[in-house]
Amino acid sequence: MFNSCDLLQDDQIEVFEATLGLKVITSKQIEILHGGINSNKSIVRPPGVWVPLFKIIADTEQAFCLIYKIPKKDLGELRLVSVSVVETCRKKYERVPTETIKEIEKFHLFFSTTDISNNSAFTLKLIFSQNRKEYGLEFPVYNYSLPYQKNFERYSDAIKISKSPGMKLYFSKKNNLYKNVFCHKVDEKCNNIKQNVCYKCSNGFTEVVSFHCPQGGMKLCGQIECGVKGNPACIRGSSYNNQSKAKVCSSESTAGFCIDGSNLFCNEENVLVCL
Amino acid sequence: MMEDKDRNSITSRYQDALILVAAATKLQRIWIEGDLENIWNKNCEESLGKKKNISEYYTRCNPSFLQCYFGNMKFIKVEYNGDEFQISPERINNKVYTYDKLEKSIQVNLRHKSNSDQSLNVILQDACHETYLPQRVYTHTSFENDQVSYWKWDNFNRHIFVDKFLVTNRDVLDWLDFDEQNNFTEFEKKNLSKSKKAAPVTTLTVDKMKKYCEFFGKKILSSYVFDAATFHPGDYDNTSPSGFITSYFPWTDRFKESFLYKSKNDDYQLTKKDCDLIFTKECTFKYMMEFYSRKSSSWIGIFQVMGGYPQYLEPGVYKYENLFLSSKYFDNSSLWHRLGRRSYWSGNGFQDKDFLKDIMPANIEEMGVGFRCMRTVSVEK
Repeated sequence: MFNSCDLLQDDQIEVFEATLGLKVITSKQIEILHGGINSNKSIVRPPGVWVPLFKIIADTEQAFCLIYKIPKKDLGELRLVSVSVVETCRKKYERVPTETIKEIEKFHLFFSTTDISNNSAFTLKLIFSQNRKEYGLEFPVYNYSLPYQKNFERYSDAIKISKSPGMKLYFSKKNNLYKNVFCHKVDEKCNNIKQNVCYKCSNGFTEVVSFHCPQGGMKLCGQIECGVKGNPACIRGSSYNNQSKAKVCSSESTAGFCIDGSNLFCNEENVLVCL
Repeated sequence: MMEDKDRNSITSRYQDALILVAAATKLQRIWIEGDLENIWNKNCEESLGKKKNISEYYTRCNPSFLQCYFGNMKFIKVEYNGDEFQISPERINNKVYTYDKLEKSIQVNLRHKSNSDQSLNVILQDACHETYLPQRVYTHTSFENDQVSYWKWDNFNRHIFVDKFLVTNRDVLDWLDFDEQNNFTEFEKKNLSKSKKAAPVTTLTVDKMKKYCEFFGKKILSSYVFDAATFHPGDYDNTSPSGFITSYFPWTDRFKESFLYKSKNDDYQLTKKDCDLIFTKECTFKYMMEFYSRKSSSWIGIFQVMGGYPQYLEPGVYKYENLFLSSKYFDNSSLWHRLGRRSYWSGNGFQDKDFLKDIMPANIEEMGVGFRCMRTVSVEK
């Protein structure tokens, strides 16, 4: 049986759970900011200090920080604070919280992307005690997927590892890129001069012969017919690169080929094209 | 302070969200596993076609199966806190799914039957129809004028995925619904909708094939990638073999072990198993072709490689070799039933004039051509 104080606390926790849950279920990323997670020991250091625990990237603009005041003489407090995607969670305890849970005695946080044995991977777990009563809140995170593993094998599919591989849950619209726009650019030192955003291409992307870099060469959005006059050359493969430098774009290059008898030419964008 | 009504609103919204999420995970299982409840026979002919001679695999990651499922079941049942809820997909023009172009995936909007305020957009990616081409050096061949020549290439540091199956009539009908800019005539659409839905589409010209693949973020399978995906590599561990690696068939390099060789003997009785491997002209007199069959696989797991329908392939260095002809149009003794041997197709039509001289069998007016797509995946994101 609850007394009226219990009911008030449970109501507070219920609202906190609902508010956090609605953000987490469809969030595309959880950034863990504290080293004390996934431990049976509660978070106790440094006492009396506000520490950011994790940042939830809700969509392309909005994010939330969960911050925790570690108990010292006073009991602990959890705050959920709204931030923009580019802001950090440092010192955000000064901001008016979206939700809060006070009088926390002990607190544990669990989040793993690898522990798939008991279905707890990609599930955020908050366990805390308040008024000598223990609470456990669990939030499945569906849109957070791991980057592709580079070691694809025979028979692999192209689905990323996530809570429910191949399924995403959305409430918002996303921006996309269209054909012939560079979605990944590198320079001759293999620096990314435009981060790879090819996942935003509406119709996939085409890699072109440009620089031979560990992260691949430059990429254009869209399915571009390679090897024909006026278009980028087709890639023959890294084994057929006759250049010692990263730059493989030259009219003598063997790393690319044309299919219609046209000639190789390196254009001003450092892309091997057929002319 | 939050008002009581706001508190109630947010907790009930969260509860609704959890119910919708539970329904979404059930929906995903149906999407991936297909017709485990054996409902195809009940009322699915409109969306899937007749079940006869079609593999069960056809229902996996198949939006038309979802259409059929919700035609029969109407909703997904979810139990939450002891209560039962009915969750239905929203229907747009009577379809339960749409296409999300950025995600390149099917989208189903789930909604509470009793509470229309909340809906959840569920993206369902296709985990059933692509397979990876391992990174290694490959051989591409040409048999022009019966003179064999070889060309080598590699896909190191590139991640190529190939469609396991040929594109079907159903796939194209869906595309026409999703892509408002398609330039199909009503007559063409009508003809497609009359065709067997699970059968490979064999009536598209090359420009339409290109548009189809492009819409889904892909391109038409290249001839050199087709060779790579089908020539058995022998030693899997040696990724840079010094010689030219080719094979007669996806499963063996020994021609004399094949039924094509054995069937030269008049006493040879063609079996169903033979026709599952290569559905040749002789097979058409004895057996029905099975669609979406996985009984004949290449070393990376692509199906429908030999026999059945000719396949258009984007030409590589051998510009005039864009048609893999091994198909039901040619008898067992035909030289076209060999990997790496291709012919030429204009890509514009299906009559005798669109193929090289004396290629098209005399007893048919048109020869259909199928195709499949491929794509490169970036591992950076």
